[in-house]
Amino acid sequence: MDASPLAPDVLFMLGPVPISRAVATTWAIMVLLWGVLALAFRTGAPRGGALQSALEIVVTTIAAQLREIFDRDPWPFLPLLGSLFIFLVLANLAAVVPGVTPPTGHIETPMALGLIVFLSVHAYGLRARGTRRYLHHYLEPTPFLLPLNLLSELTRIFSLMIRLFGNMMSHEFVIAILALLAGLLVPVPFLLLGILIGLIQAYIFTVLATVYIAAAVGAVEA
Amino acid sequence: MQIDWWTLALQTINFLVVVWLLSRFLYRPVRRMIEEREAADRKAAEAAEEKARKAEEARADYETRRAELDETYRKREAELHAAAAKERNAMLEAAQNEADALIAEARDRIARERREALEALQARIAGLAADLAKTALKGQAPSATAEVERVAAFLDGLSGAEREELRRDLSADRGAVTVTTAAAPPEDLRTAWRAALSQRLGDDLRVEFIEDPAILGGVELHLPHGALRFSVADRLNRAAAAMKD
Repeated sequence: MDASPLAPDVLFMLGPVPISRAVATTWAIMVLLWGVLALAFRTGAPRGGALQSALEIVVTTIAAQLREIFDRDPWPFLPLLGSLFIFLVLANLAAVVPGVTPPTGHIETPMALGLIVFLSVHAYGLRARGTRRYLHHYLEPTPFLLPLNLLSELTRIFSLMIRLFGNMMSHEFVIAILALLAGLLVPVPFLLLGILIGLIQAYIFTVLATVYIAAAVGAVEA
Repeated sequence: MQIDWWTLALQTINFLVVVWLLSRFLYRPVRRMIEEREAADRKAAEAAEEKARKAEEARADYETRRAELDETYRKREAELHAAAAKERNAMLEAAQNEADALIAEARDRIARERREALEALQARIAGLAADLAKTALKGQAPSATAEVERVAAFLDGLSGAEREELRRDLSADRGAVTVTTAAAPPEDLRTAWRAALSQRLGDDLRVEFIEDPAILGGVELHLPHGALRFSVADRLNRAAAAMKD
C-alpha cells in the first residue's frame, strides 16, 4: 500500500507506451460496443429486432433531449454528445463488474473528455457563429469581463472534469474501504448506489457539455 | 496526484474512436432508418390523403349526381302533375260538355213533349168544348114559344103524385112561380107562360118573371122549395160535372 491509489495503474507496456488499466477497460468497452452494434444492426432492415429497437430508443431519446436544449436539429451534435453519454454510462457502470475499475475513476479519462469538450465548444461555436462573432461574445456584456469570461472557459471545464473524477474515484474508494473493513457482501448496496451515481454523473457531464456547446452556438445563454 | 500523459493521449484517441464507432454503426444507421420510416410514413400519409381526396371527390360526385337526380325527379314530378291536371281539366271539360249536351237535349225533349202535350190538351179541350156546346145546345128549344110548350110537355109528363107535390109546394104560404129567362119575355109570351103554368099547377097560381142573362138561354122555373131548370147554363153545369166524374 505504499503506492498512491491515484497513481496510474499500468498493466503492460506496448513498446514505449504504458497501457494503463483505464485504457484497457476503455478498449474492452469499445469492443463491447462494436459487438453490440454489429449484432443489433447486422440485418440493416428498417424494422429490426429488440436490440436494434432498444438502441433506436436510446438514440432518439438522446436526440430529443438535445433538441430540447438546442431548440434546433440535434443530429449535428449527436455524434459527440451522444457518444459522450453512452461512453460515460458504460465507463461508470464498469465499476459493477468485479475486478474492473471505471476508467472515469482515473483523472486521465475525465481530463481527456474535458479536453475534447473544451475543444468541441470552440469548434462548434466558431463554425456556427463565425470567428468574429464568436470571439466577440467574450466581450459581452462588457469588455471588462473578458478575463473572467476566459477564466470561466477553463474553470467550468475543470469543474466538469473534477466533478466526474471526484465522484467516481471517491465511490471506488468507498467500495474498497468497505470491502476491506466489512467483508464481501456489505458493499453490494453501495454497488447499486454506484449504478445510480454513474448514471447521474454521465447525465450531468453530458448535459453540462451540451449547455456549453449550445451557448457557444448561440442556442442558450451559458 | 500523477497524470499519465500517455494514458491521457490514449483515452483522448479512444474517445474519438468511440465517437467514430458510434457515428458509423449507430447514429448513421438509426438516422437512416428513421428517415426511411418517416419517408414511408410520409408516403403512406400521402397515399392516405390521396385516397381521402379521391373519396371526397367521389362523395362530391355522388352528391352532385344525387342532386341532379333529385332535380330530374322534381321536374318529372312537376311534369306528371301538370299532365295529370291537364288531363283532369280536359276530362272535366268533356264531362261538362256532355252534361251540357244532355241537359240541352233533355230541355229540348221536355219542351217538345210539353208542346206536344199542350197541343194534345188544346185539342182535347177543343173537343170537350165542342162536346159541351153540343150538350148545352142539344136540348135548346128552337123558339120562346117552343120553350113554353116544352116546359108544358115536361109538366104533363109528370106523374100525378109529383104534380100534386108541386102544387102543395106552391099552395103553402101562397107561393109563386118565378120564370127566369135570359132576356125579358114580351107580354104575349108572359101570357102564354101564365096560361100554361096555371093550367097545370093551379088556377090561382101567381107567376113572376125575372131576367137573368147568366142562364145563357132557355128557362128556369123557381118554386118556393125547388126549381125546374131548362136553361143552357144548367145543362153546361151538368155536362161539366159529368166530365169531372
